[in-house]
Amino acid sequence: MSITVGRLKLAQPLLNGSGTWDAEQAHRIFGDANPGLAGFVTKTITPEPRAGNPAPRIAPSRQGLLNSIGLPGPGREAFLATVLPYLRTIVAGPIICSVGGFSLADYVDTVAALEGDPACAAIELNVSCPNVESGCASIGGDAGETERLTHAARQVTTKPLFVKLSASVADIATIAKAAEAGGADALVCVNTVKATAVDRRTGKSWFGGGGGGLSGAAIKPVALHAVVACREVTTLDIIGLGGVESADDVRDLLAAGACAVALGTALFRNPALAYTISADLAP
Amino acid sequence: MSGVVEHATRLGPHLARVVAVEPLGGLALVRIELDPRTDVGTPGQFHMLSNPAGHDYLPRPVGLIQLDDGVGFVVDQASAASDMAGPEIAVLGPLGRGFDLSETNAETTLLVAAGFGLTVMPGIGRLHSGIRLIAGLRQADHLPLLDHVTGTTIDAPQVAPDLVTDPLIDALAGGQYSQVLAAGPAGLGAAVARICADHGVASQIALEAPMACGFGACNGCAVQLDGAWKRCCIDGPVVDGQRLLA
Repeated sequence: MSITVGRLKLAQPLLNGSGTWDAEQAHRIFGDANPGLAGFVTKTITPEPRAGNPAPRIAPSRQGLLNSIGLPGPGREAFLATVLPYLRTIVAGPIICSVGGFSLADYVDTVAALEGDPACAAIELNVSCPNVESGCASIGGDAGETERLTHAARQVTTKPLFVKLSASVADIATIAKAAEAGGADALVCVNTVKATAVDRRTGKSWFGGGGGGLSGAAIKPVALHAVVACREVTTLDIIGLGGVESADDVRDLLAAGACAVALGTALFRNPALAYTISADLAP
Repeated sequence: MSGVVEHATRLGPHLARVVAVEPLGGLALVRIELDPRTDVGTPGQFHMLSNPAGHDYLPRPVGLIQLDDGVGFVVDQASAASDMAGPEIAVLGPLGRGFDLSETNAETTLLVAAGFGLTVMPGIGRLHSGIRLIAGLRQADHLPLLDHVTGTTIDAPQVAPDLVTDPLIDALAGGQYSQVLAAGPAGLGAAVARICADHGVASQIALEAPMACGFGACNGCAVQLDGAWKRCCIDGPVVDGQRLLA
């Protein structure tokens, strides 16, 4: 069932969510870089290398996972020089590069750097990570900032441009319209929902890096609401994600208005989940 | 779609049948019958285990134990009573880096373990009969675990009711040992690595960290190695002790 999402052709509608899959490690361990997935969405690329947040970074939650990972990664230069070329040799299907940063220039510089690299099939602007000190979610929480960033990125790339939204905003529809006005080709709904675990001794976040985001089955209704809300106000294609664990979850998101669906936390439990869902979706 | 299903079954996880749950002091030994596509792995490696019908949302990293008459794993009794006692357990693995046993022998290698780290040691003792173990056993409840799973492969484990560091220092002072293999809580690993470095003795430490996936995807199992945050599941869980000292 081939589809097109935001001008990007996919052999079928299943992807991974950014930050929920490591294609290099999957290739090494399972011999399959993106098992059952139509392509691969990279972890968010930041301008400089990042160590990520101090431990603890994860905590269990009822029907979900809390995390405060903090965008660890090699930085733009190393990603372009070594990571992306290697990914191109192991990933089946298109590679969608997730881009993050702490200022408009951070994003634009990375998008511009990716523009000339044919290994990058599409770009996803992460304006919704809840676990870094600035940028990302603070941009995606403001319609004006979102439109300015999307517009600036649009000026430096001809590749399909996706914007990944947060549900932890007052009105996601307003942000969706801003991304559309800025020139986005598609929306990705949604990133983890702002949430935390508390250290009872201090009353503050239990995570080493503070903050936190909730993923997993617990947020599927949130994702559905986000897709419905965005569908009502834009004609952009939508990749739905949040708590997807089964073919029925995929059907729900497609029915709500998504044209593709990404898997995230459920892949941690079952790295072969996309194969299983594809089999269940088959007529 | 048969090709799709074939791919899915190759990757796993694979279901293991729970054969028995045996009380083990304050713990429980869960005996399982592994799917033939899953193997126990080498000592120090781990598997991600979950009960498809249980309440836990995420799998947990657990070391499988090769028993004389099968395969099992040890959990606390509360877990055994709820999520980890089957009737089936999904098992993904083996994962991670285990102990490098190429230089291991009973004469020059010393084992140190505490807590759930003790469950790693029978696998080494099975390969090197008579190897010496210093066992940190703060909780008397853990004693039956040692009796049960070590059998005769580890002779007369030296029980350290307080810290393992004092008997370790005494043992290394004799000059017999050139290598220490250790498993246990973070504090134990760091202390063993430091003491071994001070004595010019090599060490391998099995680390513990919470994990959501076990194969490098979630980035949740951050541990400090070489002075930086690394993924315990990929770089470890067994690491050269020197990496804890940077």
